[in-house]
Amino acid sequence: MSRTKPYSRTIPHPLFERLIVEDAMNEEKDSWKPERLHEYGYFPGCVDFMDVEVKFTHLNKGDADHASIAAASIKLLNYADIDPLILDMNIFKCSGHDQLWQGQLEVFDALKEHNMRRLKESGVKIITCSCAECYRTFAVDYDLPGTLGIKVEHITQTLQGRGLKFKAPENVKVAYHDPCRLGRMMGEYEAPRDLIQLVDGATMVELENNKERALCCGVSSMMYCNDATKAVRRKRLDQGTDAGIDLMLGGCPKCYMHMQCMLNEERMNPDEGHHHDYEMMDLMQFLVACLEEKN
Amino acid sequence: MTEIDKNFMTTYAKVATYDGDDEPIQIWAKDSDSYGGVGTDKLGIWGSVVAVDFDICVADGACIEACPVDVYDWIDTPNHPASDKKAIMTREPDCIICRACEEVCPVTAVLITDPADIGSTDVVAEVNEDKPAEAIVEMQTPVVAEATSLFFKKPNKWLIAAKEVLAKEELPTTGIEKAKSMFKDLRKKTLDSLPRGKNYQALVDNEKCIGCTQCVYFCNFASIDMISWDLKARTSQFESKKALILEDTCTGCTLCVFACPVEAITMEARV
Repeated sequence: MSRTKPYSRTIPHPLFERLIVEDAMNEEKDSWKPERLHEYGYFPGCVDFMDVEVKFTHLNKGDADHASIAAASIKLLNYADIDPLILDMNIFKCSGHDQLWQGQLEVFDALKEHNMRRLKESGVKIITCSCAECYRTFAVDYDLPGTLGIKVEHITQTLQGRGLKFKAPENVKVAYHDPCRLGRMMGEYEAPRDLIQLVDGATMVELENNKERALCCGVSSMMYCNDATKAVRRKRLDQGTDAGIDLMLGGCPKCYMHMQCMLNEERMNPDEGHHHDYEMMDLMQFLVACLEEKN
Repeated sequence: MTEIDKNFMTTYAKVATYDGDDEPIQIWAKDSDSYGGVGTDKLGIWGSVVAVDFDICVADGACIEACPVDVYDWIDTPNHPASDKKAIMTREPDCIICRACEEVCPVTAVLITDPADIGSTDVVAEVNEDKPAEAIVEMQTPVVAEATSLFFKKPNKWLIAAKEVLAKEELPTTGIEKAKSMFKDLRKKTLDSLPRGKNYQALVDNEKCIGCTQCVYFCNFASIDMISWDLKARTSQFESKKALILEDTCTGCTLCVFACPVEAITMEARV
């Protein structure tokens, strides 16, 4: 098959991937300097690109809103008295996780080079990500602690142990879905669970497969979405129904995106007989909904 | 009058214009008495490619939310019985004819017309004779109505709660403007290189189609179906399903070509 587009075979969201590749190939040579120095930098990832694509493909017939994960994270960081530098997409580029895992190494290298240069210019000491994939990419593939001496944290680790208090508006039974990048790859299972324990009124249950044995959302690094990967996702969602939960919480925007997509698809085609009577949300969105006003 | 008049360009008269960002916005009304100007209760239809019947618009903002290229803005229209503000198509030339706004409007006040069709005299004649426009609406309505009611009946109350908390203060955005403008550029580039309009239809090359269903999601007219093939019909790719374009409802909008990751869809002239 002849191919004229320089994009690899990324099926689930070709436009989303295309935008990131276009962005990567636009070389920016100008230097940049933040207005003042911050200790923390917050990296939102590609949530806005997801939003643009998902809105256009009618996949947000529910109310999927990925940008609210970034907004929620900023709000929670402020609540924990952290003033982060927002490493937004106007200055930075996608971390390149998907491109690396799909084998588009030249795209990944272009993204990495740009981001490393910008991180050096930003002068942050600690970088925190609300996305498990960005977290893994920065910590392992960029090796930021080794090369630039920047500590990389997932936002749950940043918020952990800061004496935060949350109160759920009503009693709710939640389960935490371990993202593969945060759990199996980076070995972080406790920080998100500790945060959920802080929420007054939320009961946490474990799904049948949890922690290192957690099931995948099925579309790891946006490689492919077909009947087989959907079966993996449905199995995971069925475990939620078995546990009788009201909300499934994830630590990665991609988990939220894929699970919510499947829930929406099921609700769009009720004749097919699959139904899960709960919602998927990102942990940050849930925590913001349970935020108590500071006195 | 419950929805926008589909033939307004021939049955209505041009009564005034209003300043848009790039080009003036045309205002249409049945006759000069049916238009009273901003601040009265007679507003007529605004816009040509992106036409909104301001007498029907209830200002729920669905079109503003749906538009991927930011065509709409709010305009204050005091003293109007339906609502005191309206969605105005300030950046009408930016419209990429995706018809997302047309689909989401709860009161059917929006009508998108392909610029290629404007001014051609047979548009109206064709609508009257063969009723293609009505056919599209009939095919589409059950699907849309079901999906919409389903989702708006059961919104995620937790997400709504989260958004309420987030709306209390202004938080920095993280690059939505850049994402939107890049998306717009990409769409424009694709549009410029493709023939489109009612004389064209999309065609799938089964050898190339990998059954990823992206085109199905992009199509606004429910005119793409996935059909299963027996195993012998499989190509070298993994999927046994292929996209099938339904000729009757395909409007030649090129969205599926834009979506296809393997360039399996092309625009062909209708025979």
